[in-house]
Amino acid sequence: MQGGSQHEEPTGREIPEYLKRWPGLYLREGDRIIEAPAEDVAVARAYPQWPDKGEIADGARITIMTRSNTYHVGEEIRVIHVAEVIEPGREVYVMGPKLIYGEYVDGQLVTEPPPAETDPLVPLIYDGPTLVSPAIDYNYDIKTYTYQLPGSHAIYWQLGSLRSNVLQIQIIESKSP
Amino acid sequence: MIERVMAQRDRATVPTSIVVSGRRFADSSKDNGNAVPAGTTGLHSGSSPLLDARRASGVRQGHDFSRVGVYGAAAVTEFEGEAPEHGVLLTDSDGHVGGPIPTPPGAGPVPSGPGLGAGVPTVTIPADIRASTTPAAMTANRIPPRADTPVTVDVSGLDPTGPPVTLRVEGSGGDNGSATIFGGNRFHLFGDGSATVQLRGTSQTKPGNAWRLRLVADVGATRVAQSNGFSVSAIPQDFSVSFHSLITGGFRGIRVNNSWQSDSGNVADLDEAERSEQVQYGAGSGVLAGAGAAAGNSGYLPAHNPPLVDNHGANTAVLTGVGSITAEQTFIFKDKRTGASDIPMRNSGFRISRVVTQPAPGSLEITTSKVGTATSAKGFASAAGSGSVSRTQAV
Repeated sequence: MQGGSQHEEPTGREIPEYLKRWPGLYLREGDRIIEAPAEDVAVARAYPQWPDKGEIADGARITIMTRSNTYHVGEEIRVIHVAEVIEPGREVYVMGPKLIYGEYVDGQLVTEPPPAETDPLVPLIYDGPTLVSPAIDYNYDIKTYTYQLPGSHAIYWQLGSLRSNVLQIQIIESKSP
Repeated sequence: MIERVMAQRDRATVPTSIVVSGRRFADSSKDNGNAVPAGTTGLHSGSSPLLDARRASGVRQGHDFSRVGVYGAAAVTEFEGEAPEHGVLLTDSDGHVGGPIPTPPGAGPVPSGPGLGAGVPTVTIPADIRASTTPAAMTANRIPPRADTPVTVDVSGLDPTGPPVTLRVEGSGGDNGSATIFGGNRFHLFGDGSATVQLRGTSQTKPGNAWRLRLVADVGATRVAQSNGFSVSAIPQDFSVSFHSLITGGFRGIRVNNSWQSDSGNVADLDEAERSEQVQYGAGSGVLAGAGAAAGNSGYLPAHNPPLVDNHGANTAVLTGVGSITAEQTFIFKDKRTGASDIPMRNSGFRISRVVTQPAPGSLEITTSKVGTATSAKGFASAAGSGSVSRTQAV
């Protein structure tokens, strides 16, 4: 997983009940929505113990996660996006997978910017259930990146006042054939 | 040929007749008013043409079963002494005790195929024990708890002087779940014919233990028929909506109560089931063209705690002119007891529409509606849910 250093994971007793919810992880395949691969699910399910979550702002935080911080040239990097609303009593809009707005790679916006003057965690049109916070939402698109040259790259996700952790990705030469 | 009908007595569940050889043996005086599922053969009180003819002839034909309580405590009260564990004491019309039917010895090894030998009857049990509420997409065989599932068993070539055909649910109990036949642990059939028996789940299968129940038929120590494995598991179905509240502030729309039922009759039985909403948008028009690009599914949420509130809102920031958009919604479920997943829920289709109009210059209104409709969303089709909600708001 992301981060080479060892860290102590919280025990089950320390994990709030709302973080134990696992609704599944999904992605789009044409017009269909299918379950994400097991590898992506494993990354997402590590969220409760993830040591480097985004900073809390306005009662919520957003976090991005990858399987590793080191990839080979040509290897696909899959970025999982999670929103956690910590302030109690708010509606959390869990339908998705939601499009990713406001993602930056090496300081450059690589997606559409978030809609202006709106709550970035509230879709403009919504039909579905809402959870009452504190609640967690994994239902965001999985962004993928591939690099053809060795190097370092920084990825972060920003929605208004919410800014995620920064993933430092190292690209190394391909494995020997 | 004398045909005798026996049943494992269960004082709680007292059906009144069973069809054997196409004839109905009924005790009309013992009709206890049990509801009879539509389409179930033979399970209703009344006389049969054969028995009426026999009585009318004045000639005693043998056992007059119209005067014998085949099931239930009523049969026991006719006799002194303690009734046997299996079957009932049979008397003829003169009240002579026929004696208890011997309990068959323990079942022998499962036969590996046809050709069981001379004298062994042919018994046909459905391969798949499935409640009619089971969606076609659900390959796992299951029956609900608390509700009867009718199963037809055919018998031919049975020696009426030998042991009966004994039906039971093999594997019943513990983590496998449990089921009864007419409320009892086993059921005996004498004579050739077609019989409809009622299976009822009495405890649900624990996740990880699916397919371990089996309806089996034995004659003496010989297994003569068996079904494929099945489980006991309640599943959600029959969605409905009702108005909850308006969405106001920076949004316009409606909140609705989404409610559903369990095919067991008790939603608390759905504690190992989860449900997921599927929403698919049309193209839309005007200011709402393309507005539903981010729609999809909700992920799985618990299914044992209806109602849940659905939110159908639109940000006023997009409601800047006329337009419309329609979304189709269905529901799917996951059942941890059987391992089934992504199964379309019966009767869970809805259509959600938004129409923005301009009743007067500078004035906009939006009408948000949700109506039960047979439809499909994200590849999952369902018949119409019930209920409708519609509200109009000034933008």
